Amino acid sequence: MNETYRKRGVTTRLEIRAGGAVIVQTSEHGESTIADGVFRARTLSSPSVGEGAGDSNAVESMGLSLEEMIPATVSLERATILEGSADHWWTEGDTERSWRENNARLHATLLNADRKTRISTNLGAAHLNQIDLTLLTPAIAALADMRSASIPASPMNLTLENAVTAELWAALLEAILRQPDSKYATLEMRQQLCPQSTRDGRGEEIRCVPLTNANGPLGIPNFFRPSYRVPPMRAAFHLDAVGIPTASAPSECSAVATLFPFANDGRRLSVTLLCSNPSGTFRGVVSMTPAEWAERLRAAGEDSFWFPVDAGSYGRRLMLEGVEIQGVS
Amino acid sequence: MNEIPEHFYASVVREELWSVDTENRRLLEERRETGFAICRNVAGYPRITAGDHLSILDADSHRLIGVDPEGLEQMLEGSLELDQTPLIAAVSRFAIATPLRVRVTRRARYVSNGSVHDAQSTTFLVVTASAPGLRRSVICTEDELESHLPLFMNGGHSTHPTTLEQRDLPILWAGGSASVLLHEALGHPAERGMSPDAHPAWLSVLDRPSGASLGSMAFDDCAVATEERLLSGGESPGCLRRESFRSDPIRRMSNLHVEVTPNAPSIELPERFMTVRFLGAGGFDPLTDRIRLTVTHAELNEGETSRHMAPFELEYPRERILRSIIAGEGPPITYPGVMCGEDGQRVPVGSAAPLLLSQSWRVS
Repeated sequence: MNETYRKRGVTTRLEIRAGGAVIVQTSEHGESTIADGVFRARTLSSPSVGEGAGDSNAVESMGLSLEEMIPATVSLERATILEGSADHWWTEGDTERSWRENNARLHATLLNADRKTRISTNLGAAHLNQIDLTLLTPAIAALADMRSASIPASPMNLTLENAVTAELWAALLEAILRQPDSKYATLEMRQQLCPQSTRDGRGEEIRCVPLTNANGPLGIPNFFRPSYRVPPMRAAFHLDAVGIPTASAPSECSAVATLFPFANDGRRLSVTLLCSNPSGTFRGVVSMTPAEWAERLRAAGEDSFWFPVDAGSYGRRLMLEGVEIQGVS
Repeated sequence: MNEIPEHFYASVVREELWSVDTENRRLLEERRETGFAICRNVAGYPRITAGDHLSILDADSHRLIGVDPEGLEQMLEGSLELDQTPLIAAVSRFAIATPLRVRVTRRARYVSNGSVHDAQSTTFLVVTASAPGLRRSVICTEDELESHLPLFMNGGHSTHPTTLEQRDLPILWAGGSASVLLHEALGHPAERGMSPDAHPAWLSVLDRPSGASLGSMAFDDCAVATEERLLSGGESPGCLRRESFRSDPIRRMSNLHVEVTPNAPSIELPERFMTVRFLGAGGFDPLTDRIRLTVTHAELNEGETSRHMAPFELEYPRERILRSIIAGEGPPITYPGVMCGEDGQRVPVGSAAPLLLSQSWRVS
């Protein structure tokens, strides 16, 4: 399989770090080939400035909006806000494909320095004006108001907010792929459609397909290529899950952010969460086998939101029913 | 970051990834990249215009560039047209027991602020060996290859997990490995302007951009003349560095150089200790003020015997680590460098340190 891929794009990004910020406008045209097992990438160095370049006012405006959301007890450690567009070409033999994408991203790391707590947040859309900053509100509010709450008695019902669910899908799919013999009777993971990202890294259409069923994984149909400088890798796009029973009772406790990413030791899938309830916030670890995660999930909300987790993941409010939470200091 | 001065930056990079064993050498990946960046201080935020073609330059750019940009591009690219095969052949002599991955990066860079112009080309290699119980990387310049690779390959390894009790032992930091400890415990805090404390007065930690090590440069990536800084005296590193033309320059170490004064306490080894020779990764978290290290090559020393330890991780408060350093001696030993990934940008940092002894981190 010998293929050629070209990408020409422009981005405007705002980098915010402690002590200041800078605007970086980049235009690039590059090519990569895979021939006889060797991956080669090079800049083509042809002009592409100006066409569809991101608007620096837009990134600055979103930076201000983000800073306005942050209360006094929280600080912004680092943020990257970017908007851009890219044209792609891909050929292999007689097959040729071309497509265009627009991308906007917000990556921010927020701190409650007094409580030694950090959360990372990631939002994405085709354009910055489509990014919904209110998705950050639950996590920022919990980070700001870190009154120590006693951990409710386990087992308990725990609501997972949108961003946490988006990360859970990526971790759960990886776990299912690593442990293909496990059974997940109630859960079917799916690759969904996403209007802002309809083609994969080889120009193939991203279709809505099941990725797992009750018997395990079904295969990953697409390739992810975040840059022309890295070889394409198999990846599922726009993850979601179906077959989740509806919750029968509300939960008073919510997991609003992950404090450390999901970790898989080959047997259990564990995560450290920032949780809130009416009495305050607490840090808790949930550690279960992938099958137990799947069995305890209950639908708790109708709306879903796309997050830039790996090649994309849909988050929505879910409940973990009857879960054990281990408190951490 | 408002401190970024106006400048022009150009770079050409050629990178190859090879799979190497004693019989075969196979090219897996190759990347070539040309890029330019102009930084201007305008109303509001500083602004960097970057791209892989000269059309990013406007009439005003020429006051910063200082030379003909098209001639510059040819000059930079010409400096990279070297055959890598002899270099890869030299590495393959060390792939005796374990196949190696070798990443060779040749980089030519030009910086100017209109009155100062500086061109520099560097080559460095990242050699990685992976096997059960073994994951080890070495980073070095072409000139350091012959001296560093034998040290790297001669170390044995163990598949027996290292126990928590063994991790609590006093540590002899050998082969310059103390530079990695102090890279995390003093270097990164200094980049953030955090004042040093808790280290012994006989220990000097410097950022030294001069010399011929991995991070050496006469001018930084913003065309500012570099100078030595005493990090253990409360200074920050002087260099603004960037991974590529796409990146915004940030304050980073160049070469971390550790010295001990003649009145430093001499090393008296305890009956039981470990010798750390190589580290695979490290990190400093400014929020928790803790240091995390992955030790990839260490020996457990008991009396006259020593045996290899499997890779393990250590994580402790920074202050406790610095207070635990109780003795040091000898001249600085060049450590195979560090590929530092702080703040999302990977830059090579040279490293050298003398022998140091630290007490157990659990009790000190």
